Amino acid sequence: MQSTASSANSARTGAVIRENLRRFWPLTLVFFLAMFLTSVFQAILSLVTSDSGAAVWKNHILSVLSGAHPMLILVSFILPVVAAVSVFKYLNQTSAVSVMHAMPFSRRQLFSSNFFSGLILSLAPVLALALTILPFVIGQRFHLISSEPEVVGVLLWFTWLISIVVVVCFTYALSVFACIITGTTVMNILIACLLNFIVIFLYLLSIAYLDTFLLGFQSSGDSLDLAIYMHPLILSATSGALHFLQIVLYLIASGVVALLAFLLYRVLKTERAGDSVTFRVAGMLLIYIVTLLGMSGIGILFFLGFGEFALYVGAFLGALLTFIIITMIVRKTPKVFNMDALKHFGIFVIIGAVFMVCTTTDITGYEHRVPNPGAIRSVEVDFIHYPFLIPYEKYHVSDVQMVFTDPDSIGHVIALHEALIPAERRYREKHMPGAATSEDPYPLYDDKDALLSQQWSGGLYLRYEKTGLFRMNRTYDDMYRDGQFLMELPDVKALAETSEFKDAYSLENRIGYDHIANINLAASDSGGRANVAFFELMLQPDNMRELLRCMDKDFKALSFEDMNDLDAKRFTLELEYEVSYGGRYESYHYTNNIYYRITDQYTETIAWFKAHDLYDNLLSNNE
Amino acid sequence: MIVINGLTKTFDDVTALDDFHMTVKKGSIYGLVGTNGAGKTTVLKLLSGIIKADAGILLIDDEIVYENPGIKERLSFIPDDLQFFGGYTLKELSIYFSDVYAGWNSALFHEIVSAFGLDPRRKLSRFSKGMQKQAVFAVSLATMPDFLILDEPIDGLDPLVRKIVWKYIVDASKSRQMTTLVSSHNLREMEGICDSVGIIDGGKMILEKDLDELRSDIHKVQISFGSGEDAVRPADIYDSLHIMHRENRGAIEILIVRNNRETLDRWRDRYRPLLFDPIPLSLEEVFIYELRGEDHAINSIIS
Repeated sequence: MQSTASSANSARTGAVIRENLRRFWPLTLVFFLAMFLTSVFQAILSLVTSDSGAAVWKNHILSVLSGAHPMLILVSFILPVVAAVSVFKYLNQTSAVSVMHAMPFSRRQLFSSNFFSGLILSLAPVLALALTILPFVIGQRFHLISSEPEVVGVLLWFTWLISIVVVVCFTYALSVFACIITGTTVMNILIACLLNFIVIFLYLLSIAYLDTFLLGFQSSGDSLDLAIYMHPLILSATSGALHFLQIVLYLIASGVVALLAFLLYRVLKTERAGDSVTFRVAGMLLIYIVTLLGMSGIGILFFLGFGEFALYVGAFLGALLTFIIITMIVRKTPKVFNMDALKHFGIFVIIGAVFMVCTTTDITGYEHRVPNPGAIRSVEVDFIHYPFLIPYEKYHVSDVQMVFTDPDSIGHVIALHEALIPAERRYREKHMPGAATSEDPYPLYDDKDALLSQQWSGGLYLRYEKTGLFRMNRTYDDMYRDGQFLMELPDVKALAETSEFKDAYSLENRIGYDHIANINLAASDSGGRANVAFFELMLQPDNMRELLRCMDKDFKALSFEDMNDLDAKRFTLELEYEVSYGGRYESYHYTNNIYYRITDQYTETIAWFKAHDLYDNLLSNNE
Repeated sequence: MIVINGLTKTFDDVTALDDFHMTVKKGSIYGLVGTNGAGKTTVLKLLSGIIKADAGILLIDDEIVYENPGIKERLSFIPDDLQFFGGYTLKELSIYFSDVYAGWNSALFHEIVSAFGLDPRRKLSRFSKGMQKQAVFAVSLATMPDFLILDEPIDGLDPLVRKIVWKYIVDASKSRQMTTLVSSHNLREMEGICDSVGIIDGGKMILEKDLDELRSDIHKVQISFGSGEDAVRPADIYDSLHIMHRENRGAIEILIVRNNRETLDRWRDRYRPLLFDPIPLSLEEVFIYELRGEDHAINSIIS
């Protein structure tokens, strides 16, 4: 008896799935064609029509498999939203919801059959596209398309497929959730979009506040990386295929969201069909979140124009305006000026005030916190566009992240950190938007050397590795512009003279002797800045290595004052070097260069040039 | 059999049903009559398992309906608003329903469609409102429900079509004991079709009766003992009757009495009036006198 009922239930569930597929398959076809025509079809055309087709088709296919294909990104987001809205559209109409719920389904059956039919509709175009790519993968594997090394491998294809399936599942689960908690098609779509990115919005909003108001807050790096992880679509578009752990976590998250959607569906009041929001709590949350966004947007606008006090005025006005508008939308009536709305606005004011206080003031003592030297294993210091390093005339070489492990060095870093905090605070207050003063932010060095002024837009990034599990990150990028202040800090001098600093900035470690291809005398422009190779020294590899060792040896012997002795320059060398970059799917090789000043302090280097009869030639040509 | 006891349902701050009671006998046609907003549709939605009651008992053949696909397969609900099916052709709709309902009767479907003269290949949205109702009625009846629940089913239907609709309903009730529950805001529509009628007002059942019982219990009688000195009659002449309404028109008195025919005949034989003429009451009149204290309800449903 029970099995008869069970088979009847299965048959009914199957009927709903079949019906949904029958009704909505054209959607799937349209989205498939949109992806196919902008990717695989172009690859096919390039194979057929172009002599160099092999390379071109590869690019088309790789752009898909890298997860960065614009149409694929668009479809993998829009299709699940459209599919969810389509299959759950009956919830938006009183008669429709009545008919569906009067039919012989339990709510579980109705939800699951609609959920899975929408999922099938969402995944079908992606799976179909994957199948159309497969011949390219196999063709290349057996050298049927080209004899090039295998780039589009089966593993790449498979990991891409799994990743895109995860993206679709995640987006779809959130979209279904949106369809359950809203009762009109427009709201379905809006909230599906909002839910997919609301966590990222709120996170980035908090980051923006903290970055603006919290001294030393590190907004880039780890903080922004975290935002990328908040949606698999963004992660796969920026980083390619997802890793196993990411796949598992996103699938678990999708499952949790789907389960929540189901639980809400079970208690959904069908009479709410046609309401903007079908759950009172969800409606209030939506009002609060949108009001928070409105409060922040207008608050920051006021802040940028008129300063810190205006932030709070703007935030209040923004909150009030947004609250009224969103309440009208959610409640589908302009009659929102009542006690209930006033009560909720009062609640929001408290939430907003807590948010503002937490993000615009240092209630936790974050700004003044410096680590205990004994609790630090190492500290990574990134002198972004470090201005006090004269030998490196330009900073073409990537900035060096130096890791200090020596306790004395760590002590200097912490002392530098402590010194920066009050200075950065003073600097910020002086240059806060709306502040009366409008001093030149680059006031300290005169124009006698334009070189330095170019280097001042930088920052100091500190990343402490503690003995425990936690890290401590800080960035100071305003105060850092005040070069004079930094130069006079004894700990900057001490750090610059440590062997760890000099090792990090040596040519051997920063570029690698083997990568340097040519050394040229560089000509300078009218401002005294090197900008072009004048003649090549034509050195043999052994000689070149010898010269580079001399340069490094001299560099390591420089004092901090020597490093900043602008008047000691003899001539500038251009060092051409090879850069290799191994990307996820392709490797890149190119040539770059840096300009390196030889000063009076480079005694061994000068001696080497003299020993090789180059010195006079260099000096005369430099003049 | 449908049994509803002490049912309560609120929507936010509005109480749609309050301690509602109703009993529908198997194989009967039951008319649920009430004004707009009286709670009819809420009752039908509760019966169809669309919404859940806050309190009370609702049983169909001793089973709870809500979240019970087994019992829901035996019932068919036709709402008053049929927009949902607009995108379907009648043929597509029949395929969908035949997939869902195990008891689907294709022959009956085609018979009803043919009787209505509907084109199965046309989209329902292209049909007139009346034709949409006919189409959905055909599909619903073809699922061979044991319980047919109709919300304002004959609004917008012409008399000929109404006749066909009622014919199929009556046939199904007779042939396979299908129980039908029909809601309406107009009492006249129910007369002659329903076996029982319930009047709902303000979320409460204010009267529920079998029509035969109702009609046999209440009578309108014209009585005259003549005029002038000849009109001799005892003062307690009407003591044995349950008079609901009394009206004098010259020598003729018109009485509305709640007594069966045998009692009236005994009274006539005892007092031998010159005129004794029982007149059949319309359903409207029955309710007017039954619900003397419920003026609003009765006036609305007969106007």
